[in-house]
Amino acid sequence: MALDIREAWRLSKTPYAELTFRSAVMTRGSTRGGPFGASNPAARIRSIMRGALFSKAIFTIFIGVGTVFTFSDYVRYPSPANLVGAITFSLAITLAYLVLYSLQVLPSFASAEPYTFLSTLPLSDRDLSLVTILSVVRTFDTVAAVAIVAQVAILAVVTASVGATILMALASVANAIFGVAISVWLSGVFQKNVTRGGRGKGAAVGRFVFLLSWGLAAASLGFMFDFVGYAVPALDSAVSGAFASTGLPVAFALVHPFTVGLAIASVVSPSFSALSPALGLASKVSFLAFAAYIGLSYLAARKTLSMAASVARGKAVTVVHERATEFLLKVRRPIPAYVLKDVRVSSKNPSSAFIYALPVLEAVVISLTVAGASELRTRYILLSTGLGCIFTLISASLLLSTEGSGLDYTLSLPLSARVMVLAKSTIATIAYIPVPAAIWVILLVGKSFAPWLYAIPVVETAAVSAATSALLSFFIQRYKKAGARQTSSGIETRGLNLMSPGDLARLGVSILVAGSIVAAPMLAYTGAYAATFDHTLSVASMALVALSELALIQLFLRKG
Amino acid sequence: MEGVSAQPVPVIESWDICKQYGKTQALAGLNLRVMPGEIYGLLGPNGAGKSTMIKIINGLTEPSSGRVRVLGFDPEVSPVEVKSRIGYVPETTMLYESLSPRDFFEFVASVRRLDKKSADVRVTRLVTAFGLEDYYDSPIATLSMGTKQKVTIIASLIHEPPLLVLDEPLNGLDAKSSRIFKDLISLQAQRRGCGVLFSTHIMEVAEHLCTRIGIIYQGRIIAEGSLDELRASASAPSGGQATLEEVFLRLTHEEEDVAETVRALRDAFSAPAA
Repeated sequence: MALDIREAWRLSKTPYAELTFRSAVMTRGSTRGGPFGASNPAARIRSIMRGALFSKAIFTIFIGVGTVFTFSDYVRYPSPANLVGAITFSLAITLAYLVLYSLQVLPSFASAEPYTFLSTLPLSDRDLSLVTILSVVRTFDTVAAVAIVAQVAILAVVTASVGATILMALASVANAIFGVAISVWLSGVFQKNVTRGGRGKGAAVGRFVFLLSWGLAAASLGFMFDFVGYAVPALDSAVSGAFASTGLPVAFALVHPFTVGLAIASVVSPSFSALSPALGLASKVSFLAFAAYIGLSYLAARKTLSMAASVARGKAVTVVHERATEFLLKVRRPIPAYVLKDVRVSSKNPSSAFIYALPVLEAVVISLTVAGASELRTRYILLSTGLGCIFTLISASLLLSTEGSGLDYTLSLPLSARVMVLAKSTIATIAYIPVPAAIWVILLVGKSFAPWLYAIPVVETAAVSAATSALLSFFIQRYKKAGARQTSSGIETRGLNLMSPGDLARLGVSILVAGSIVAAPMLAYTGAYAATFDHTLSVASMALVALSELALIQLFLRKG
Repeated sequence: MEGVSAQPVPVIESWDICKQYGKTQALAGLNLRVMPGEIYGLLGPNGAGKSTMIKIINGLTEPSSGRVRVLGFDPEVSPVEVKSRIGYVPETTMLYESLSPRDFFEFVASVRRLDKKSADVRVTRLVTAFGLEDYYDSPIATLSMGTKQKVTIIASLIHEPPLLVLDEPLNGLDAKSSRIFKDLISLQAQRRGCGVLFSTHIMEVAEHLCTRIGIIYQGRIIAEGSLDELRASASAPSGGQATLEEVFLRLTHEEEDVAETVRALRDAFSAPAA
């Protein structure tokens, strides 16, 4: 007898828990939980599940707040253009955060491992697929429900239009389906990337492009709120300003979720489409495109269901092994070998792929900060350098989660904690290099040739290296001590895991300490300049502090 | 005469090792001595303290009290020196799943500061012997449990260590690989004088491979010696009558318990359906 939907929903709780747990293990690199939290395996699992629930709650709040936030302009200045902007960005943010959330929750989906046990039970293919897809739905349930309800409710309140509310309901559901479909597809892409072997350059380039685009996409989503501020005026001029008579509104009408914004604005304000012939055409096109997107969402839902069915039957990913013909090794010195190992491991981990996107992002943010200044003065350079340091400290903390269970094997190798810290600190310091590079380019373009401006970000490199070493050594030493205090059940492998609230608190403290280390040379510069009004002496003071910090941390590492 | 006066130094020696995990006493005064060229089998029920002792030997955890010397070093004081001389196969495969075996061996060989030539020769021979050619460049995540175990075994042998510490090394291995591994271990012990500490649950393996066996129970060694010596200490009939399994169950006082459990299971399964 086939399962009814309620029974399938109840059964889906177990694979959902397994899916969440395994995904946490894959993305945060921890097989049995964190080293700083409970050592009891059951408590560790509970801790991971609590972390997942916490993450879900945070995303739900973000989406709810984001939806209200995007309508704030329309509430203050109710115009069709503002309504288009509000709807468009509300849907875009929902889509973005649904996918961002999925980067954490779904990586293990396509591996089929969460469903292995389920497939041994006497369930028909139809029931197995149903339970599988419901376990995926469970990962999104509150996030998607809050997004849909918030969007529909706020639109109903601010427009008081039944037609617009119905269209918004359809669009919100379709948008959530797109979010789930993209997420499930990304899960498959991630799994293929993890299981792809081969030593060829093509495979290596493919992996690099994947991790860069994955990291960039994920990091860009975090800037979506900022993006709204820039994009609304652009959209405004496209629909009602200087470009209203061009083909731009029609182009917008074809792209989801602009399509929805234009269609609903046309329903709420029928006069809107009469403003210009181009807007009239855009309005008609938006209704057609809207219908097409609803149809597309139906197809996406079907495709996602069929993928869930193939995952449930273990047919989603085919692993192909290539026979090696030679077995020669490239033997390196321990630190470069450790750096290379970290790069290889982190390049296949979606959460640590951020590390590779951060240098690009920090260069962009610094360029915008410095380029926005009316005059290239020392304080802008200090500010930009400080911003770059924050990015670097974030990437150093991300490097902690690249180890996973492999760290326990590494600890059985003749390797001091110093080598591990230096290797990871090297990667983090390399990630800082775009900061001085971007500042130098802007200084050269701005024809500013004051030598101290060029020196500041370069001198700070020593402080960055010291700060990342301090941050990393704090965590790695903590891990080793935690290993020594394991309980009898703790002989199992564990990895570094920053999920539990206690670990996050420690991360906060260590970032604060590391932040002080990067701030000290800049304060030395400021203090010396206030006392002497001499830039050369100020740079010298800065260098003295930064190099002293680096020397001290090296001494500490050698002794440790 | 060379070597006559020199007393062989034990590769592992421990005195009264205790390890307390909260309220749990994992080790309660464990004394152990493994000589070069010896394959010492460590047998014990689950939770007896085998893996804890192995972690202490490797410098991965510290004893609450007692002393241990590994190849003349104290793992607590000189962990890097100890680890550089040990080939370790952990109880669970703890590998970087996204690396390929080749990447992993490169990492291990580099950290162990091996010269390329000898690393290449050993890895090539071991990979071929264990039939890893098809998986050499595949991510470890895609390998079966047995193949992952082969990767761990090869990584433990590439530096030709004077001491092998093997915690359930045959987990997941097929019959052919298992046989190759056992022969390889015997060769390492006989030809190079490599000391081997071999923790296992498989009695037949311990019976045929190990030169000496220690039975660990409730955190201490309760009997030690060759199979005949163990038979004698368990008051078991000698002359090949009692197997190691029987001796083991008798020494750990689990013989009665096993008989009782089997009786209960027989009753449960043979009872007519209601």
